Amino acid sequence: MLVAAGFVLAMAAVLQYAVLAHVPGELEPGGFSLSNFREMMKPLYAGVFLDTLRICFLTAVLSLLAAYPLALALVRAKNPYLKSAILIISVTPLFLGEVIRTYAWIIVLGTRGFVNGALSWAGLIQQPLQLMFTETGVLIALVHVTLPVVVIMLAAAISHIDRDLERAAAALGARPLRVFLTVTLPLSMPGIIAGLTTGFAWTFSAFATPQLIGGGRVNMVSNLVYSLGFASFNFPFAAALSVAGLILTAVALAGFRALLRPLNRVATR
Amino acid sequence: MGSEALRLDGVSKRFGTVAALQEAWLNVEDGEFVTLLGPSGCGKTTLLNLIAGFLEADAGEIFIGGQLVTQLPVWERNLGMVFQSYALFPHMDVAKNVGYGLRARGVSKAEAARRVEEALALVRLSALAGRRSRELSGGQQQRVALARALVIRPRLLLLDEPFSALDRNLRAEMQIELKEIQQRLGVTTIFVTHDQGEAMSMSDRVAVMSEGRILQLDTPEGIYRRPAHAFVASFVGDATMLPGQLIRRNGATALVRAAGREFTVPTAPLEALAEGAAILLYLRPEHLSPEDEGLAGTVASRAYLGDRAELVVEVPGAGRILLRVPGVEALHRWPVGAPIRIGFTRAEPVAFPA
Ligand SMILES: Nc1ncnc2c1ncn2[C@@H]1O[C@H](COP(=O)(O)OP(=O)(O)OP(=O)(O)O)[C@@H](O)[C@H]1O
Ligand SMILES: [Mg+2]
Repeated sequence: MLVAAGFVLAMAAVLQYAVLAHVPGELEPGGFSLSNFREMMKPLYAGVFLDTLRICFLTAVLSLLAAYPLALALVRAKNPYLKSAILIISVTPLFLGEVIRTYAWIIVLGTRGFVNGALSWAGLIQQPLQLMFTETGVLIALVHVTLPVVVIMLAAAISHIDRDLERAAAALGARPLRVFLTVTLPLSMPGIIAGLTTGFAWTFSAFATPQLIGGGRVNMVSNLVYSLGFASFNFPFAAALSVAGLILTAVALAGFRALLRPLNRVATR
Repeated sequence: MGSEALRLDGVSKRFGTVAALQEAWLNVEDGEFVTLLGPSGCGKTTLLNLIAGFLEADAGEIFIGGQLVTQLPVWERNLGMVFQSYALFPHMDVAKNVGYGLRARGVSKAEAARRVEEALALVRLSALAGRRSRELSGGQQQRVALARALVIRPRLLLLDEPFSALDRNLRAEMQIELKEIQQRLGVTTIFVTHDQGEAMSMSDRVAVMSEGRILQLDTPEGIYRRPAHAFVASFVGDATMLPGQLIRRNGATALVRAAGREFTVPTAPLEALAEGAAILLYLRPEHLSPEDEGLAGTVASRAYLGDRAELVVEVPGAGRILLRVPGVEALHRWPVGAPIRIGFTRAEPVAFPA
């Protein structure tokens, strides 16, 4: 109760700030104004919103693609050692926290980092790849952040599929690929939908990863809020951005769900 | 009988230290209905899964329609499989479920539609073609599963305890229906159950299994009246066991003594015994009846079942003997404690080494 009350108070404070004017050079806001929301329509800020949406979408999809084989192997592997290995690789990052994982990626992705070292050692590249401060680098790290949750959601869905269904399909003459495409995949749909939506929403709130790996060159809404609030001390505008971000997440999630509805129908027809 | 539909040559399967199936030999003719009967854990499902190709045999060979299939993957064996859990695809309607095997085989749309319709008519479900599988009752789901297995015109129909989730009346109905369909199509069928009534009523032949072995493969009458193994005699039907001795063998029959009387039994199960050796005599309760000249005892307990009653009779020096009498008679003549004399004139006793 107390937590909920605190949460409501905080939200109310943010909402109140969002509709106040910013007085340059002052920490205290001015009077009522909708100028913050007008300001947001500028291409600079609108661009950040679009970038954020794109990054969230790509992260969700890439996480799903990486997580599905892991989840399938996790549920279906017979060898207990293989099972634990998959579990450790895919789920332990969950307990490390975003900041620690992000620092790890800084080490791995840097010009002298592990990725570049390995690639040039293998003779695949002459020049080090620029991964730090790029969207690719941010995406890699973000996928790593969302992966465990998506794996868990998919594994839950896959483990609910009755193996007799796959056996029945095989006995009816379906080869393994056909069994996968016509039985396993459609019946994993609840997990796929949950994984995509969670990956999307989770990424929207990411801060440390785009901040540190993007290094100011990859801006997401959370980074913009941070720099406006704590670099420019424009609290009203930062609050307005937060509110807009929240609404955008809700709208995007609703849109995302609508987009996924045909998939859902496949799963429950 | 036609040609050979299925043959197992010494098929074995282990799971770690468990010998789930030990050297199974089996020969099934075209169009036959063979049931694998045995208690839980005796290896019925293992045997069926080996035939289907879900498991790989450790030793032995499997032939289907004369073709060696031991190494053939499931999807190339062309078998119809019906599961206890029905295993209907929940994301497809009834028609899609039934047509699945035809789509996997690349049968043309028109041809597939015609055959699906035909299969649904066969199981009397034509009206439900558009239903989702989870909107069906258990009996309807099992009929869809049957149609789905039959529509591909399988070389064998395999069923693993298909009716065990159904209530008693529905189960009896489905048994009759399956038997009718099986005879109409003439499809060779391997049926798994641990219900002996089901096995006896439906099968041409029954394979009685215990601890990974097929102990006897015979007609229902054969396994009931001429059990080849003590386990078969006690697992199929009820029996009273009396200890006794072998007196002598005369060719196909042998003379044994139990409860102070002499009985003629088949020799086969006693082949290896010396004269005077200990035996166990098996008596079917319905073959015993109260007779004036019979063995004297008292009624120890009585279970009235309507049409008949089961009496447990305590016979001094022999033990307890189970017999079945008409229900009305039991109510009036044989209360608990009443003296009774058991006659053996209709008995078809069998004896096994003790
Ligand atoms: N996948 C498996 N791994 C290990 N042991 C198994 C496996 N499958 C079966 N077994 C063992 O093999 C033996 C035979 O099992 P099976 O399932 O064939 O019995 P069943 O006759 O079908 O029994 P039920 O009537 O209970 O279905 C049992 O002891 C069982 O525990
Ligand atoms: Mg079984």
